[in-house]
Amino acid sequence: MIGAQPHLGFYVARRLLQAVPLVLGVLVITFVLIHVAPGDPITILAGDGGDAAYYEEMRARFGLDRPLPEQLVRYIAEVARGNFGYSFRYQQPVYNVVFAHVPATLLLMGTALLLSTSLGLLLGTLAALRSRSPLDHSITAGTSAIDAIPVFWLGQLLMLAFAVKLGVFPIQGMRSVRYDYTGIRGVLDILHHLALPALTLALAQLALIARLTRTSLRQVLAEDFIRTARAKGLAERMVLWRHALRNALLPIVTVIGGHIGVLLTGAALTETIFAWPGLGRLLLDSVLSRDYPLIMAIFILVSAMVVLANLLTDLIYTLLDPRVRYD
Amino acid sequence: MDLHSTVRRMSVVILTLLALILAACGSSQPPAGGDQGAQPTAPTSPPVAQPQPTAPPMAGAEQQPTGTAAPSDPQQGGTLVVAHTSDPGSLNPAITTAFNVHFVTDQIFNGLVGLDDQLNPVPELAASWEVSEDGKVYTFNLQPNVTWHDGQPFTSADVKFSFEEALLKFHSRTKAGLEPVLEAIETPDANTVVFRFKQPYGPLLQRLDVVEAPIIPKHIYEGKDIQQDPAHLTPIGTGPFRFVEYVKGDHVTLERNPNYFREGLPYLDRVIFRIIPDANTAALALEQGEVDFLFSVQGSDIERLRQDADLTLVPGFGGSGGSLCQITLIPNLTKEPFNTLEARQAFYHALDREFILERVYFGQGSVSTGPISRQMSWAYTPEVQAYPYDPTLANELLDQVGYQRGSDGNRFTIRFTHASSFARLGEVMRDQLKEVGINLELESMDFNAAVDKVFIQKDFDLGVASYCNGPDPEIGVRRVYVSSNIGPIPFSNGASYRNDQVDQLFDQAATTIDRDQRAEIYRQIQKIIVDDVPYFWIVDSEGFRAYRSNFEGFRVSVGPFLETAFRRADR
Amino acid sequence: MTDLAPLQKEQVLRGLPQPGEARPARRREGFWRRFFSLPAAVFGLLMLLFLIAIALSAPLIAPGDPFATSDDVLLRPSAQYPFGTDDLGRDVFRAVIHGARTSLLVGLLAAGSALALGVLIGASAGYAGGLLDDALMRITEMFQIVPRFFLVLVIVSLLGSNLWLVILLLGLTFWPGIARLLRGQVLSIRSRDYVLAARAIGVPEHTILVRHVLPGALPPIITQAALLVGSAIVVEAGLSFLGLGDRSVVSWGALLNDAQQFVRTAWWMSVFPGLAITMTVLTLNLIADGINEAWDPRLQS
Repeated sequence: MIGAQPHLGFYVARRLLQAVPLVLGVLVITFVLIHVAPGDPITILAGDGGDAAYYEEMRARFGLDRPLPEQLVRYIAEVARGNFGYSFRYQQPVYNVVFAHVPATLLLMGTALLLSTSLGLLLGTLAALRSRSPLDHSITAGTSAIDAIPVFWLGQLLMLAFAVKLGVFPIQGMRSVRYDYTGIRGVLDILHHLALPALTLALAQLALIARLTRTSLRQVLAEDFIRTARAKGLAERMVLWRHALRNALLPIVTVIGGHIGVLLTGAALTETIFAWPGLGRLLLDSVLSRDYPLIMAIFILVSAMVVLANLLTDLIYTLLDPRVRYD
Repeated sequence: MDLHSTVRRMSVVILTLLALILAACGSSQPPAGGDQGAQPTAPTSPPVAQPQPTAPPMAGAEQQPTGTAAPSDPQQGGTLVVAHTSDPGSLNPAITTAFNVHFVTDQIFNGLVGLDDQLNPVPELAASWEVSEDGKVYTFNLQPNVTWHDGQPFTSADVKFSFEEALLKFHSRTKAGLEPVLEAIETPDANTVVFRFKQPYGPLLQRLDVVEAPIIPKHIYEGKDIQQDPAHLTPIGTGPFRFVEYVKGDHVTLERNPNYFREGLPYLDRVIFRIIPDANTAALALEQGEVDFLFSVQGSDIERLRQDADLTLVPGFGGSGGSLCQITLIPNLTKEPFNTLEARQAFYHALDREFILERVYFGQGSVSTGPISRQMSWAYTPEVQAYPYDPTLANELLDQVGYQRGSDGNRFTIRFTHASSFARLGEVMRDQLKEVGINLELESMDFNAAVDKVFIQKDFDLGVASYCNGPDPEIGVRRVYVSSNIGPIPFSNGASYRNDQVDQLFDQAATTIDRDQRAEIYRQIQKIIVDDVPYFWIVDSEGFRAYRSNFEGFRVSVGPFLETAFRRADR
Repeated sequence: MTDLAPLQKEQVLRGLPQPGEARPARRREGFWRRFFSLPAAVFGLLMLLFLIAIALSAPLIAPGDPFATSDDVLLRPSAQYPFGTDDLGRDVFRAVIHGARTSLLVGLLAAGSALALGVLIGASAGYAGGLLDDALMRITEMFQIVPRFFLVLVIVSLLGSNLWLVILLLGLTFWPGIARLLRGQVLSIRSRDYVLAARAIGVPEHTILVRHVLPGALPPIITQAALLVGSAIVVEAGLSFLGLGDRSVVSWGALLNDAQQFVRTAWWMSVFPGLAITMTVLTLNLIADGINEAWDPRLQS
């Protein structure tokens, strides 16, 4: 930890280089796992009621009859060349399928993060400032309770309340298919559909962020430099804003960076309930239909996203907190 | 050519006459069935009296429904939103049997022949046909002036191409059924297609509909890799609806084909397939009016949707696996205890199938009697050995064959390997079998793993599948019982049943042309198989469709179910 | 030395105390006193004991086979059936009570095995250093970048659902957090004077581990373990929600899955198992918060 800070670019390059074997490891494990397990995509590929020779022919056509190590090596070679293969179920390049689903997921996860972060920061700050007050206790208890509700049940409850009983939001989908809204109405239409799934996913993250904000803010408020700042007569709001919250942002950044995987899990369940056309549901679908190339591609994409998010988090750390250094 | 010597069997004239007569009868008859909610409001009523009370309502195969009730007069226009459970992925129906593809594409494409609601062949792209006396040569006269959605003319070359390059290569059922027996497909002129067989072949007409043999355009696919060409994302067909757009994971939009060869059809301007994977969400969306049509209502929703005045519920036959499906238990006949007949009989008697039908399947369908669904009325016979619920008899039979109860009261343990969708069935059976000392161990897996375990690895005691008869026993029944189909094939003869007589009879039925004679053979087959009980047939399923009451005219079968649908003018 | 940033990050992320800080001794004294002065934490602990008691005495509280069907189909909650009945005429109360056994078993065993594995791997990495440390940490990172739920989902859907398999898989995927925690603790402590002194006078390594290293890391680890119990229960429920639960046992997740179809017609089928899961996870959260709070005296006002 001690020593001159090396060049930032060097650090990033090193981290990325380190990530390559990680992602490769994920690739190999996933690949072996899904190929060794019983059940192959042959009914998806070939349909039912065929004869044995036809199934063999189709397995051969998609290279499924070759020894596993050979399939693996071929696959890695293809991936290295940027070719993620061909989706069995969609009968088109995996690349096209995956990227068709990315925007919806980013919209959902982004909105959910925005909601949970702003609400969580607010609640966490209130709780920290009024530490041990009834307000603090009720915020903590309330967010903990919401956190304890399984996300799929939460989604269903919200759907029943807001879409079925009150009828204020649509039940499913990302846009109204009955009408072709364009321009601002199109945007509003999507927001209208986005509300419930985003709220579901946001509530699932809310407790974590509120709790982190509260904890770290309280820690920071007890630190010497805050006391000094206060002693110097800085206005309370200024202290809070300039020093405390800035430091408390760290955990938030971390959640965003380190929780992509968890967020995606929540997104998959939320997307299934609300028929949101995103990546999480695509992964679920591809697992259930044994669409090997698609499963692989999504796992690789998600792992890479997590690695990048981690890296980004660490970089932001160094900006926000001078005590943390990269080496 | 020996066509001049052929006998015209199913001329289009007779069929049209028949349809007109039946439709006329239909309009003067009150609809069958006693249930308010399930009351069919389709423009025509069942042309033929059905044996069961819940007869599917008929949307006529003829072009203009003749219903006289004013509210039912079809009007052109309107947008219909259909809930679809699973993203289709690609939209080329000729290379797959997948339901999630066909559900959409069967509105875009046509078959040579259509199937009416009794599964009788009716003209579609073929206006008429002749069958040679020896049953080896089928000659189809194509509908003139049919165009593809891109304006190109449809010709016999498209038919030949579809079969030779797509259907006989990649459509698993059509390939398995036709490839071994078909000698050649000839196109003497642009409007004639001749199928020449190596041996007499009876069930051809049943396997030429859009589900089994959709016709795709040669000019689009020629010279391309038919499995992977991007053309299957922008399908060009001849059918009632044209493709507009496909947003992956979200929806597929179709619009009315103004040049459809059946004049006046279809009625709807626009059809949108909305992808909703969760069945509960789909039902709620229907109730809220976000979607208009639900192809398969889950049992638990039937009562609730039936009570909704804005919705219409109708029984249909067929589900995602095809038409006329039977929930069937698959015992492993190569292992104890199911290798003995008495044990199988005892097991069958120990199941309260009425209870299963009511509680697990919410009364959708009827208790099965044997290997052919009762909805296949021409081939079905109820005159077979019956296995009513009788735990006492089951206990006696098991005592007789020497499966004594152990100290824990169990005679033996059976592992029930099933896809998770059959979990309910498993729990109820476990409860029932306890009474006769059979311990049922539940092994719930996901669909593909269960298929692999039962059909490919054959590592199971008892499996389960929804076997679909399809439009002809030759398509969906034969594969389950002939010994040549015991291989590692999904939905094959999973029990490993062998009976030479049954094998021979199935061959005989396939090469017989006369349907009455074929029916006789199938009745014989049913008697023998039910005596052997190589499978336990539980329920002949009959799914419910539900739709907003401002629409009607839906066909009950799988395939082109939207061709005659329309929006009611009075709503 | 490898980067500490992710370690701190992990700690901050969990809202956990950071191990190996300056005065472990001061923090340890009074820990339980502080813990028991927190009403929420005490409430959580009591609730947990209550839940365990229910699970243990399930056959006494609700005797009978939870799978037994009857003709009392879809009845509302009443004196006879406090939680109503399901579509097969089964008593929801009995199912929820018996389900406590499964759900707690999954939670406790999964978290327990993750704990064991995490301690083992974390301590080995921390002590061994060098290549082994690097290798173990890379594996840990690998497990951290794969989305756990999907990994479990893939394996369960491929191999078939079995309660023990689910427990094993959860254990196998939940350990990395604990491993990193322990490794950090070991690293920060192993060159301390008193550890060096202990080693010099010949105290065996495992004794040092148990006496000096583990106690310092215990509260954050327990906190994490408590959270893992909750996560495991929720993941099992999630699998069941997708129809991939083990149907040979009653679990809250399976009940919730059955109830899916009846959300509008039989609210009691989903409300009670749903509340049971929520209550249990909340209980564990409260305990985790309590430990967290009691561990860090600076948080005391």
